[in-house]
Amino acid sequence: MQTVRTMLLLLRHEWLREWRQGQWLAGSLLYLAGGIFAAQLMLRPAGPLAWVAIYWLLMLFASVYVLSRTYLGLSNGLLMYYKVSTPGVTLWMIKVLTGTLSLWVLMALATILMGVWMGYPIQNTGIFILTQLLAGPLLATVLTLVSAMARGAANPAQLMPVLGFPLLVPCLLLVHRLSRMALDGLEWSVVWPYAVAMSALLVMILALGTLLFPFLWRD
Amino acid sequence: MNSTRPRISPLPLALKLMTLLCMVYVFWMGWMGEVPRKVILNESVRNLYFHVPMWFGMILMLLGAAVYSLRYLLFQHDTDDAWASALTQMGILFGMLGLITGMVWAQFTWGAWWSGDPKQNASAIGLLMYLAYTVLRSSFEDKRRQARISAAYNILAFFCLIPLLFILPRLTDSLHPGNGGNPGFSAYDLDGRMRWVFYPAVIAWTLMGWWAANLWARYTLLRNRIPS
Repeated sequence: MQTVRTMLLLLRHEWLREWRQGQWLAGSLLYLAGGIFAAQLMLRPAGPLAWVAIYWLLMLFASVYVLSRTYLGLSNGLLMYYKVSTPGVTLWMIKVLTGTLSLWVLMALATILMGVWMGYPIQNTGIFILTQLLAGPLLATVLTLVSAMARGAANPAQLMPVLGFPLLVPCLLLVHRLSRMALDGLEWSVVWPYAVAMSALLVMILALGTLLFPFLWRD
Repeated sequence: MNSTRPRISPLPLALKLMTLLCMVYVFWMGWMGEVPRKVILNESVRNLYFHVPMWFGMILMLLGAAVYSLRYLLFQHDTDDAWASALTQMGILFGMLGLITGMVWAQFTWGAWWSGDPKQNASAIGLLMYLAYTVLRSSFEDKRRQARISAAYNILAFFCLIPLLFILPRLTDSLHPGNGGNPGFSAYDLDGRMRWVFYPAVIAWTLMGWWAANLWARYTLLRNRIPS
């Protein structure tokens, strides 16, 4: 009960911080919109395969940008406040949750923008939405961990992609496979094994993160 | 030797001798021994004694690194950190050698150095993960923090490596033996002659890697003793 209350308070705190500063999500939206616009200038008649590739590449870059803020963006004072007031794992869970929510917002926006500027080749939108729903927490979980690791290093901004990309490639392979199925409008029965594999990967990384996070948080 | 200083004992002499003996045997039998004659494979089948043990060695070394990383997180001994770092570096070396020997083999049996095969891609990504470990290690000033963070990353990387190497390639078609309906190694080895060289080869290369990691870990501990 206490944990749930703490989590709700933290969630409210995150929301307030975002609302008052108002630059984090807005900045990422602009980042993504700029990337998509540049892509559509160069790839005007975009083939469906290129569409999917561009979509996930831009999401990968945007997610590294968004989630590097989870720990790298904290001022030392705020970090100290968190450390004395909350158990690390609770804070991590909240960061994963807010990261996931903001990635879902970004994914929806990217779909709309790319649909308007480059056409919408996806035939089975249901599968594509399922892919996005699973990809959001996967990207958020791995990248919050990486962000916590990179904090305190000499070159945090460089470490985010260097550590994050190789760890994310297995997830991205599954994401790409599922998006191809959405593109071709395949049956749901073909989709489930991959969706289950992605969920299993997510559960594994969440469990690992819960065990490892206290060690990253200690100072 | 001062007993308060962190110290790793050298590999027992018996194991060193065994490594050398196995190595001489494997190299002699690898180049001169009888091998089954197969279409396409031809003499390249000898690569079995060199390419495949690299992968066994790499997985065992990285498993060892993950175990020592876990031990470091639990007990904070400097020796565990030195072991984890040395084993990871040997794992990377074995992985690179495995990739190179695999590419040579692929050129003469599949017809291309790099065909984007799932096994090739997966191992290249695995290598990138562990190269990132070395980048992470080198970017901390504080030794304790460096050891703690890189131990955590090492465990995470090992758990990401396992699905990458063993599960994802099975989901897609691959030319590699043992994948996508291709027969595994046993189908090429009807009379069991190659096993008599293959198993010693796995032992020899793994022990060799362990020996090198042992030396490297001891060197690291010595070097850390020098005040910078």
